[in-house]
Amino acid sequence: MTARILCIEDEPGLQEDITLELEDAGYAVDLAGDGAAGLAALQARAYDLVLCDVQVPHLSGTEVLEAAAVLPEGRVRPPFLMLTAYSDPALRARCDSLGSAGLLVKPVDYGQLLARIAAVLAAR
Amino acid sequence: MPLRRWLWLSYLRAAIIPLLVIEVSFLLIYWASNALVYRENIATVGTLSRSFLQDVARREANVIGRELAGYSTDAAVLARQSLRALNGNHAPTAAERQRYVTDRDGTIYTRSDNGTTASYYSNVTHPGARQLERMLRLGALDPLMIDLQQSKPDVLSVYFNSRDSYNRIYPYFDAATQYPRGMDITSYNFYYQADAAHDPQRKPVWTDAYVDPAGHGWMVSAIAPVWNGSTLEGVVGIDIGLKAMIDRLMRLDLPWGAYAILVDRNGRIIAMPPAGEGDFGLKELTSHQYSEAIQKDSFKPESFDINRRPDTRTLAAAMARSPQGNAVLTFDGTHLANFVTVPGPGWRLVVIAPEANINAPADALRARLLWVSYAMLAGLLLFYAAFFFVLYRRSREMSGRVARPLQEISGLMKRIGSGEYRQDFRGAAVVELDELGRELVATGSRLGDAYDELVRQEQVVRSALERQQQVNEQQGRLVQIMSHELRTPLAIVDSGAQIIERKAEDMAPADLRRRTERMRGAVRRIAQLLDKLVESLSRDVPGDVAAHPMQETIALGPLVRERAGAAIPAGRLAIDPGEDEVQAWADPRALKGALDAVLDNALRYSGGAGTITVRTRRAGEEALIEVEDSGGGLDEDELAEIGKLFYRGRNAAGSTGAGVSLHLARKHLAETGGRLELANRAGGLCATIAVPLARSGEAE
Repeated sequence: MTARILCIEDEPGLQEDITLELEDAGYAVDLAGDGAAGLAALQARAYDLVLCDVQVPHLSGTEVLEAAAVLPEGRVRPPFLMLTAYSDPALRARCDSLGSAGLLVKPVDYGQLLARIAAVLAAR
Repeated sequence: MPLRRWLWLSYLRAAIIPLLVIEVSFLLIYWASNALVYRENIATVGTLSRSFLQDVARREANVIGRELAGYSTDAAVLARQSLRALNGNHAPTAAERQRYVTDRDGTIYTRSDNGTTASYYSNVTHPGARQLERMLRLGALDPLMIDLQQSKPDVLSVYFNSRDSYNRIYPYFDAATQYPRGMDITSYNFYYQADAAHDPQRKPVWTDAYVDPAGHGWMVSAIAPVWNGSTLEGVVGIDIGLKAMIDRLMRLDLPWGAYAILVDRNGRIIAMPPAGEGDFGLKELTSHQYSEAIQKDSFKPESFDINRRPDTRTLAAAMARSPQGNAVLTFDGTHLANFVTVPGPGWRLVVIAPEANINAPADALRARLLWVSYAMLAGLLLFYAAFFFVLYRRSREMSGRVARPLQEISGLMKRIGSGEYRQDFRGAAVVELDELGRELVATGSRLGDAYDELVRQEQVVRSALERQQQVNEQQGRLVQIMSHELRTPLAIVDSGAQIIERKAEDMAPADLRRRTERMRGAVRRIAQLLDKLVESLSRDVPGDVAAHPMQETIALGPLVRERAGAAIPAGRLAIDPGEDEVQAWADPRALKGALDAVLDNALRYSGGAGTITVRTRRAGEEALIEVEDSGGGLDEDELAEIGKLFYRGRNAAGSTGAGVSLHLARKHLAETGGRLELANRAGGLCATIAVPLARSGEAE
């Protein structure tokens, strides 16, 4: 069965490229332009993984990660792979403490990204 | 030790005790010298009085001696005349003979007084006519005897006693009744004391005191033997009453209440004036109650014998040692006794003076001096009581004068120590304390200044530290933002490059161009970002705007239309025409920069949709430009942070900018008398630019 990935990213150029790469890798991809939309999507349906930019409008990535701890219908929060343009140890610690599966710093090598996604999904 | 007590003790030590010691020493010396003077006085008076009393006694003894010598001479004359008469041929008249009667027991006596002598022939020798005839020759003595008795008032009687107990005596008395029958005249002292055994020199002598058988009471007699060759024919005598002797002693003019007594050779008191009776506890014997005839010698009792009295032993011993001298007697008090030998009878005249009387002037002087010393002592005590009181008051006053400033100084020190550096000092009467207090106040003031300076320096350092911290924060934010702002377009470039790298062969040329165009857009974004940063930093050179202010009147309406029209897409801009003609007094660079910044901010935070309203109006002395978006506003944390250097709002979706513009706008406005405020309004954020209104004369 095809794994479904929610991508929360506000940069239009990156939205397109990430979607392309993931779909090429065989994943089903939903896009959300900001944190609030991402959380709404998570509540709407189940995902196998969330690829989430930290710096997004309305709800930050970490806020979405925190808020997704409780989902409707008793769903378990899917693993979150966080993306950020900040290379900040405090942010990394914050993400770890909130239970993210990892933090990747932009620019991201798509090969590495896909390998990481595969590893996270396999570990699941 | 409290200060008052300390002062008081100091006074005591420094002033009172030495003074007191000196004064008391003087007083003691005074007493000691008084005692010394008194002793010397007493000794001197004693010596003088002894000498004086001795002189008096000697003089009086000499006088008495001369008087007695007169009687002795009379007795001697009478004795010689008696022998002459016995050997003469005097014949009595018939009338004279008729006066004589012979009693049945053989006693012959005169029975009538014819103005001459009385005669008594004791029957002890059974005298016959022949013996009587011989004695009648003594009638020749009568004129002499009368003369001897009458010429001297103290002479009681004058008589002749024969060895066969014939007595012829003047004045006349009734001898037959007076004398005892059978009396042996030679057994009486006034006879035998002149006999050969008692008076070998055959000179007149004096009897001891005795009771006169002839009825004249107590007396002494000057007697003289009548020697006829080797035969003692008889003894003549002249009687002197003791009363006369005592009167004689009483007439002595003696000082110090002294009196004199006469003591015979055997130590028996012959005569004593009433003054001495008390001391000796005796009643002098002068008269005698002749209840019966005097049969034999009747001398004074032993209580009159100084050799036998316990209270006169010292005198008796002294008398035994030498003919004249002195002794101390103790009757009722000490008495000084000086004695000398009366020439002639060998009696002792003793002058007795109570020592208390002798010492009375010295005692009185001592008493006066003692009184003076007590007065001095009282005065001293009074003075010291007053002195102590004054000193006590002084010490209280002094301690008050010192203790109050000390307490005040102590309080000053406490307050200064606890940080109240500015203090006042009321001053002190003591210069040193006054200086100390003032110096303390000055020190406190200096400490206060130093403390204030310290606080100021600390504030300077703290604000410098805060500024440094802000700079550090700004730099940290800059690094983060630069990282994000650069990494995001870099990510776009890298992403595009990876896609092209992987799928270039499959990509349509149009798709490829689109991607490369996107990548170039991202690169431009990086370039723009760097330009803006450089521009911002160059404009933020301190003092640029502030150093060259260029304030001028600016019409806000046209400015807003120009800048907003350029920045905001036409469909989203609403210009409120309310007060179009507001004229501001501002630096055009600062005002335009601020307006651009807030317009850009509104556009960035409004999420790419909604109307942005721009309004100009007056408020008091200020001209306002308000830019209001509909982006939902900021929460309180963001409101507090926004406008700081390098701060970016979190809803700045995909927007560029590094939190520089708002910061600079706020800074430059402030430097030119304006301000920038951000606040939430219904549905969005409202940025207000406030600058001074242009005054009428400043219009262009």
